[in-house]
Formats: sequence, structure tokens, C-alpha cells
Amino acid sequence: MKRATLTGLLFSSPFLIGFIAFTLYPIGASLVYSFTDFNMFKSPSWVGLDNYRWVFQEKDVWKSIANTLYMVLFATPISLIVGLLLAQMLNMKVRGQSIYRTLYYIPSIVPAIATSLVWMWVLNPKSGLINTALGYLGIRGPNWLLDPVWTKPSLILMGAWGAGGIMIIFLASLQDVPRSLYESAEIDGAGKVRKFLSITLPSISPIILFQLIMGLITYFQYFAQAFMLASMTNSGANQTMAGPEKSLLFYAVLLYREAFVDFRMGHASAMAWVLFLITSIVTYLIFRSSNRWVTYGGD
Amino acid sequence: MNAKQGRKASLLLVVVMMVAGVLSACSGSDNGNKGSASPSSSASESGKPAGEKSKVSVWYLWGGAEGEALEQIIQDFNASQDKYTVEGLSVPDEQKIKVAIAGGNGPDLTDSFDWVVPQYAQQGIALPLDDLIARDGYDVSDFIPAALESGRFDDKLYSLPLNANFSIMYYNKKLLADAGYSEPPKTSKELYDVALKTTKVNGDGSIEVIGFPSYPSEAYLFNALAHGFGSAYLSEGAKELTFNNESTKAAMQMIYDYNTQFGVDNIRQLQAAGKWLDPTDPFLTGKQAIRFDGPWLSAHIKNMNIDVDYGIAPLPYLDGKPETAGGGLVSSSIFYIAKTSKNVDGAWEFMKYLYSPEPLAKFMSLMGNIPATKSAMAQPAMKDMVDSEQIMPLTESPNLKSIPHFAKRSDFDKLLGEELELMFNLKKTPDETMSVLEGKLAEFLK
Repeated sequence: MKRATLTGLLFSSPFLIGFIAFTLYPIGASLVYSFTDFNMFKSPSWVGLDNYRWVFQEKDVWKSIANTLYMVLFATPISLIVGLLLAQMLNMKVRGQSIYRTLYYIPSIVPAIATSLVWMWVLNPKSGLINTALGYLGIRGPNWLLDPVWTKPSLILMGAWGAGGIMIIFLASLQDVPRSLYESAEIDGAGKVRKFLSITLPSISPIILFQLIMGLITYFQYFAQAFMLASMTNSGANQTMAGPEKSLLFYAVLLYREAFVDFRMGHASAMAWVLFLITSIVTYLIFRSSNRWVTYGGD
Repeated sequence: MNAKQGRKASLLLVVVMMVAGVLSACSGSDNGNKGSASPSSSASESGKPAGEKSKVSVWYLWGGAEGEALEQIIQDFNASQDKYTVEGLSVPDEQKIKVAIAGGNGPDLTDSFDWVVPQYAQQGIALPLDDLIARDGYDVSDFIPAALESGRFDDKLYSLPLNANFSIMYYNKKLLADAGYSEPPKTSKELYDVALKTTKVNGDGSIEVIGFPSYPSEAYLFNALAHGFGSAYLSEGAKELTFNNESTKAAMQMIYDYNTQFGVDNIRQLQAAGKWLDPTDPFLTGKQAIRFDGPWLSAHIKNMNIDVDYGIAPLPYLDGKPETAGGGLVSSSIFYIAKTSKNVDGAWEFMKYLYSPEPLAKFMSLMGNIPATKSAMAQPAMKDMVDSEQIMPLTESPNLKSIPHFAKRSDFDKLLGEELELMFNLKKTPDETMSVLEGKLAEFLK
């Protein structure tokens, strides 16, 4: 082996070792476990495709897929739109803009668990901020986190509040759009909406693609907030972690429950691989479609 | 490679890495825990220099005043002998404890509830105690038989019970007096009458005072209500499903009727308003007339200096069936030795100390719990338990029952909870719910 290659490998070894030990090996192990009956205490026994059969036959898995798709279909676009609108506003020339930018970004650096706790209070049907405000308008707000119809919209609301990460990337990309394009459009008499649709959106479309895929993956793996809300009830810990009428039973939550409550590692590993396949396929399809709506400027 | 492909490729790489996260997060670690099956194989003391105490780690789910009570017992134990040092740790998350045990770096001794015994026995989390008991000739006859049996699965004893828990009825004397009652309800019919008369509703339908024990939740209430009415879900030895009986049906119907009358939304709103056993708990703020809860409620009221004028009574029995009076569902908190314990002998030594009369009585009276041994019950310390003179006589009722163990207990409980939730939310009638449950629950007994 060339000396240069060896030096290179040596320099990248902290990452390589970490990647092999903590990512590659566990991934391989989960593939093996997905074909076994394994509970962490007793040694695994081979069961062939039984775990995959279970994934497709179990009612709760389908329920969790439906809940997860709800989030993917609604929460992803909503958080992108909110992020883009915020970025658009924070891109205006206003006095004290840097303060606004900081303020809007702060929620996204708050840990998910802390966010959930704050929102449990904000969404409290009796004493929460939102229902109290609605009360002043004479509206009786819903039982956000206790009514199966409102639990997922509550989570989407929480997601939109934490859209700062999405916003900051959009903001950077908005500042990257060449001014000359806007100037020539203005000469041609284009209005604000026209400029946004014909210049801004196409210019930032690669970033939209990136954010869309990141958003989809985030919501396919949606876990922390739902887990918090479903397991912290007023009468102590709830082991089913499913929320009112299973409305918060997301795929990753069920996976966690199979793995670490019921210790069915085989089921959980099979579920993880099925999720990997679903996410890969959806990502591939979006990449395929991107030829039609993403424009790469520059060269 | 042109810029477009380059960007696409790097994006793809990021995607692959992110998705990899979920896969690596959920693969278990097989660190070859074979578990120490026989107590003598624990190598705790071997290789220790003479005079050094061996460590025993005890994790417990309690926090606050209850955790402090156990810490007192631990201190007493450490001072009482010079072989072991027990180190206590409050870990209020059972998942965490189980995963730590699986990974071989969990506690030696920890607590849970009796209904987990079948699961923990089958999963190999808990160590059978029979060999230790036989080795030391430990006398288990001091335990209340039903509570002791709750630790047994497949003819092996996996845990020892700390307490005998069952719900009793707390009532707010002032709210009952205002509605014209000088006595607490004794029958199901009286209970519902009191509930209707003491519930106060605001103009928009929201509930100001809840008369029914729906707080903290119907799920929390249901088992107590049904067993108070004399129900038994299973025959002895869990041979047959006896869930479909007039007592269960009466409990289902009563909750369904109350929720229909006052509205699920209004009840949920009230349930969300206060935190259980916290100063915001509606019973403690004087906004709940009837409450079914364990004797610990008395201890909490006293510890937090809450000013509420309450009384204690047995759960109401089904109207026309006075022979079932004093009924209820008994369960226990348990301690079990972890299968992966590195100091089984130390854990067992502490366990024996904890269950001896004085320490157990001290611990239980501080927690406001009824101890599971006869000798602890007779200890003078139990007189210090808040409301002990009203609570202790209730333990003598022959109508207190427990649910016998069977392999699929956790699946049974899960399904029961799911189906009942639909009925509490008025998505299904009691009749529909009963017919679904009767068919499906029986499946778990096979």
C-alpha cells in the first residue's frame, strides 16, 4: 500500500473506526436479528421470514403506518412552507433584523424533550396558553393532546414552531439568488408574486429538494415528541405509548415499543429494515421527479 | 462529474447516513448474558480483600418522599452489618432498568409491579428465588398468601411482594354534605346518585366539580370499579374467562352513562387540568367528590399539608348484592433480583433485611402502603401510617381478589385497555365492547 494511502487512512481512522463499530456493525447485526427471535436475554434463534410476515400482518403496524403517513403528508409541506415564509420575512431589510433572526431560530435549538414539555403546557385544554387566548375570543379550544382528532395537528403545530432549522437554510439560499435577476424582472414590470414564483422558487429549488427529502426522513422516523406526549400522562407513565385511541402510535414509536418494552428485537429489526426500504423508495421517487422541477443554475 | 451530479451525489450520501441512523439505533447488543442461574455462582465476594464491603446496587422507580423512605431503609441496612454496601438510585423509568439489566450493567435488585412477573419470568429478566429460599430456609409463610402468589410463575417464585395495594373510596365530606348526603355511598346505585348530584357544570358544559371517580382516568378507575362490584375476570388458576358478568357490565355501563351525560370532551378537559397526587389534583383542590385510589392518597394529603375534609370508605358494591361488599382488586409492588446481577448474595441479603418486620413496617408506613407480611402489619410503626385505623380493617375483607397470572397477561391488559378506551370515548357501546372482548380475551388464555 502506498504511504500516502496509509497516511490518509490513518487520519480518517477515528471516523472509520467509529463508523464501523457504531454504525456498520449494528446495521449488519440488525439485519441478522431481523431473521431471528431475540429478546436480548436469551440467545437468538432463527425464524426465517416470520418477523417480516408479522410486520405485514400486525394491525398495529398498519395503524402506525397510517399515523406516520399523516405526518409525512401534512407536516412535511407545512414545515417547509412555514420555514420558507419565515425566511422570506427575515430576508427583508428591516431595522433589528438580526434580532428577529435569532428569535425565530431559538426554538430549533431547544431539545425535543424540552419542547414537548413546554407544549404540553401550552396545549393544556384548561390552563394552556392557546385555549386561554381562544377563550378571550369566546371560542372553547379543543382538548389538543387528549382528543384523537387533534393530537397529530398538535404535533404539526409544534413542528412548525421549531422550523428554524429549515428557515435558516432557506434564508441562506434566498441571499444567494442573484440580484440581477430581480432587477431585470423589475424592468420588465414583474410584481412581487411574479418575482417569487418565477425567480425565487426556481433559484432555490435544489434547496427545496434537499429540505423536502430531509423533512420526509424526519417524519418517517418521527419519534421523540410523540413518545413524550404519549408516555407522559397525568396519571403516570403509560406503557402503551400510543396516545388517545392509538393516534400517536407512529412507526418509530411502535418499533421502540417492540424493541425495548416487549423485547422483541426480531420484530423491531424487521420493522427497521422495512422502514429503510420505504424511505429509500420514496427518496428515489423524489429524485426521479426532481429532473422536472429542480433547476441547477450556475454552470 | 458535473456540478449537478456532484450535488445530487452528496445529497444522496447525506440521505443514506440519516436513514442508517434508524437501523443502527434499533439493533440490540448481544453481550452474551448467560445469566447466573444458581445463586452460588455469583462471584461477588471472591477476590475481594478481607474487610472490604461488596457493593449491591438497588434501583427503584420511586422518587420524592417515597424514594427517601427507601433510602432510609438502605442506610439502616448499611449500618447494621459490615459485609455489603447497598447503593440506592432512583430510576423512574422501567424501560431504562430493563435495558440496563439486559446489557449486564443494571442493578442487582430492583422493583416493579406483580403483573410484570409472567413477562419478566419468560423474558429472563428476573432471577428465580427458590434456590436462595431453600438454601437459607427462608420462611415465606409470613407473607399474605395471595400477595406471595403474585410472584409465582410456572412454579417458580420470581419476586417478593412489598405491599397489598387496592383502591379504597375517598370522599369529600363538604361536597357530599352540600348535595344533601351525610353518608358515603354504599351501593352502585347510591354511587351514581351521588355522582350526578355532586357534579357541577359551567355554562359552556365544562365541569367545575366532578362527582364521579373518573379522575385521574377511566382506565385507572375501571378495574377498581368492576372488582368493587364483585367482578372476577378469570377463574382460579386463569383457566377460564369469567369477564362477562353482571358486575363488569355494570361498571362499563356506569362509566358509559356518566360520559354520555357530561360529555367526553368536558371530562378529558378536567382530567388534563390537574396532575395526579399533585397539589393541582382535583380531589386535593376540593373539586372531586368521589375518588377511588390507594391508601397513599392519605399520605400525600398529609405530606403536602393539603386542607381537604375527606372520609374513607370501602368501594361500593353492586346494588342488591351486599354479600360482595368490601371487594376490590389487589396488586403488589415487588422486588426482584436481576438475572444479570453481579452480586446475587448481596441483593438477597438486603432483600431479607427489607422484608423483616421492622424495616418493612417503617418503609410501608412512610409510603402509606399496607405491608404484605403479617408481622409487619402488627408492628407499632404501622400505627403511624396516615389513616391506618380506617384503612387497616379494610384489608381483612374476604372479597379482595387478585388477577391470577398467565403467560399472555401483558397482551391481555393491552387489549382490554384499547377496547375499553373506545367505549370510554363513546365510540362503542358497552354491549359491542363486551362482545369483542369476550372473544378476543379468551384467546390469550390458550
